[in-house]
Amino acid sequence: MHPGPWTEDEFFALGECINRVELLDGGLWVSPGPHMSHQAIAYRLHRLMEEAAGAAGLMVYRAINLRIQADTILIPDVVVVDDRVPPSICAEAGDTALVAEILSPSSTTMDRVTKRHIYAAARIDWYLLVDPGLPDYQEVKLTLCRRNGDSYVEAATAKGDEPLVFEQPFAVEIHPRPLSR
Amino acid sequence: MTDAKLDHPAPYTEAEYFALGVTDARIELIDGSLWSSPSPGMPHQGICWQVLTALLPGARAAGLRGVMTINLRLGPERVLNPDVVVGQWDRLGLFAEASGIALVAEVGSPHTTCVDRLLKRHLYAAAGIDWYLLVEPALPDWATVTVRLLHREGDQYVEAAVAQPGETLVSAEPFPFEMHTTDLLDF
Repeated sequence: MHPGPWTEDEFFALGECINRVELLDGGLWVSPGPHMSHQAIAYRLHRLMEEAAGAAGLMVYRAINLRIQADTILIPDVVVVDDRVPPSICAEAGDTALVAEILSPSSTTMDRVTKRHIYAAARIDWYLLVDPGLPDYQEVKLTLCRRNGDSYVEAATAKGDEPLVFEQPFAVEIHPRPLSR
Repeated sequence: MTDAKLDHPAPYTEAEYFALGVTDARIELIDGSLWSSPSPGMPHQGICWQVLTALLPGARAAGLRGVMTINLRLGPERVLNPDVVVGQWDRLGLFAEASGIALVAEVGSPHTTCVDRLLKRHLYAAAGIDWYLLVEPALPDWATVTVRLLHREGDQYVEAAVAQPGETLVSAEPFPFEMHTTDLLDF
C-alpha cells in the first residue's frame, strides 16, 4: 500500500475486513478476528446493559467505529452512546458515555495500557475492562473505571457471583458468571 | 499494507511476520496483531543516525554493537523495530533477542503515537531491557531536542538522567557515553 500516514478516508475505504482494523494517529492496528467466546461475551454484555441504558437515553452498540480524534478511529467491543445522535458510519467520543473492551490474547497490553489512556484522554467517562479468563474464557472478571481528569481510576470490580453495580452512566447490576459459558 | 494482510483471521505468528519480508510500511508484531506505522521522514532518520553515532564509541569499548531499526524479538509473537539498539546478537541473524540488549532508543516524530509512547515502553520493560533512551525533538520544527535516559525498575522505567536542549547527557551506564543535544540536530 503506502508508507505515509493513513487518513480517515483511506481507512473507511478499506471497507469490511476479516481482521479488526483500527486507525491510530495515522497508523493501522490489525488484530486477529475475534474468538467466538469473545463475541459471545460481548453479546451478553450488550443484552444485559440494553434496557438500563435505554432508560437513561443511551444506546448500546457492538464493534462500531468510534472517532477519538482526526485520524484515530477505534472499534471498541461495546460502546454506549447518546441515543439522540442519528446513527452513522462512525460514533464520536463526545457522544459516548461508556466503552467496554474484552481482553483477547492479541490485545491484552493494548486494552490495559494504550486504549485505557486513549479513551480517558478522549474524555469518555466510563471504561469497562472485561477479563474473560484467558485462555479458556471461563472466569470473567469485570473492572469498571471512572474518568478522573485525563486518566481512569478503578471504581468497582467483580468476579464470579459478585455483581458489578453501576449507578452511572445508567443503573444496572452485571453478574460476571453468566457472561461466560 | 496490502488487503491480503487484512483478511488473516488467525493471530499472526512470528514465522508469518518474518515472511512478510520488506514491506512498504513499517510493520511490527505485537501478540499476533500487526502495527503498521507511518514511515518516518528525513529529520527523524537523521536524528536516529546521530544517536547511534553518539552511542557507538562507548558501546564498542564495552564490547557491544549498535544498529538502527532491526527486528527486536521481545518474546513469542512480539517483534518490534526500535530506532536504535545497543547490545549483542547473532551477527548473521534475522533478529536480535531482548536478552542481549543493553539499551533501546526511540526518537519521537509527528507520528509517534500512543502505541509508541505507551505500549512499546510497557513491552520493553516487560522484556527486561534495562535502559531506554527517549529522544524527543520539539515539533513541528525540529529545532531543539530533549534526551531522557530511563532505567528499568521492575516492570516500569524511571528517569535516570535528562538533557534539556543545549545540554549534554552524561551517563556511566550501561556503558560510559556522552550525548550532546546540539549534535543530534546536525543531521
